Amino acid sequence: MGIKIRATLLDCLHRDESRLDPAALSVLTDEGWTALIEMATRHGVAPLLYQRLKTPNLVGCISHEVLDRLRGVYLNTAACNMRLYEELRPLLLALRAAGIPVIVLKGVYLAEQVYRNIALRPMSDIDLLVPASLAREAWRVMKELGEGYRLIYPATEALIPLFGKDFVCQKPGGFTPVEVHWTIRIADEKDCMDDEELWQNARVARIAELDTATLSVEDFLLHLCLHASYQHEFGFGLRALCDIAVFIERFELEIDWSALRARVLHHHWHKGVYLILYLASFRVGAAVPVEVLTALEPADLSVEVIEQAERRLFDASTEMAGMTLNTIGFFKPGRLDDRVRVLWRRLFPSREEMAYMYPIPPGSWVLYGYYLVRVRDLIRRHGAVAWYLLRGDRELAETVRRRAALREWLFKPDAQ
Amino acid sequence: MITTVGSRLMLTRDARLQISEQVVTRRVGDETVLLNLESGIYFGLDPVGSRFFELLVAFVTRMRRAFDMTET
Repeated sequence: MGIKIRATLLDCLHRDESRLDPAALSVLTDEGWTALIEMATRHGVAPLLYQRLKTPNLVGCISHEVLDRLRGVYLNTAACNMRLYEELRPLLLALRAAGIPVIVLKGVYLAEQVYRNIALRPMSDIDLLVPASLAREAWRVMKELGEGYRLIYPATEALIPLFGKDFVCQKPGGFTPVEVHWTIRIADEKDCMDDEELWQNARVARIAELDTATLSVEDFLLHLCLHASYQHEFGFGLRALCDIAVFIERFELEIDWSALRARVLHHHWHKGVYLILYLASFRVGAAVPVEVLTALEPADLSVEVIEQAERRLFDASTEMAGMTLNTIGFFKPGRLDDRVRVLWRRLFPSREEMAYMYPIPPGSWVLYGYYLVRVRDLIRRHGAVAWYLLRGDRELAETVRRRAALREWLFKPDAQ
Repeated sequence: MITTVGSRLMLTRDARLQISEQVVTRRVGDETVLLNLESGIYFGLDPVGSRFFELLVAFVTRMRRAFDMTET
């Protein structure tokens, strides 16, 4: 049933509305509807499903109960996002008053300006970009704003902006964590997006009833693609594909595809960008020009790679907790010394990494004691997965193999 | 005035209703969400309710302007 439900959900999300045959909905049983709603919710696309299903030509095929359930998710997304924008507005005003330029990223912009309906795009955090030179000042402003934001990461504020790429904080009793980035890092193995270029190309957008800055159309699309492919390795589910498809539809006449293509090839981002654009185009009808896909197509692309990425796209939300890159790195088929290296690096990270995770300055001797805490935390986080893998769980081992293969392909340079 | 009869709220003719300052509203598609920021409780208005609410707010705003009334 899973495959059928998946196909129905994809037809519901497709930009070409004629793809959905009302007869496919009429034959769904109660069990089928439950599975469809659960799958849509897991992928963060239940509000989009609701919007699609309540259209006059379909509404007759759907029970009131089903529509009510979906409407509940839709209204809940709207209410959550309303609270989020209520928190965002004073924050943007405070940063503006302190003379700190801000670029809004991802969901906050997408919901208001791309989907143009905040009930359609669930969000779990607010992502902002500030210049690296003002990141510490931005934190000072946030710390003193109202009841004051509390730092989540890094655990030691002295590391802002010396280590990592962002700080994460939240108001006490606040609704949403705020991630303040000072650079957009894709993955350790890949080039960052050029900060200077991002600021130069930034444009004005109306967010939370304020004129604020956001990325240029090409930078925004590129960021969506890089974030979904290299950073999350296709684990963001169907929402990532819908974001891309709706974004392209919204800015169809503005996107400079040749500039985007040139940048992707220059930075060797073509594998990830091709694969996510291909999936967005093939699965949900994103209007990616064929010549762009042709130009970006990696020389070593195979059916197996596409299947692995799709599988990850659909199954990541049901993966066992603790299945992280480190687990993959340790358990993937390979040499023993590689595994020992991964384990050593995770057990004994650098002093800066430790200070990022635990509230101890990097120069303190107490930090050594925290390596024991680190071991405890690793066991808590990865213990269950490690236990199953050591006991020879075949399904889990297969997931590790597939993810490792996809990762290896994604980050392996090719001749292009 | 608002009175209670058993578990039901009853409005009298002289009742004055106003939207709490803690309540924010937002149009989402053809529906409207009313959210109380303090309690987190929200209500969704369907398209008919949304239109009714929209007209009600517009009417009250126009009346206030016409009679130069301020909230007390």
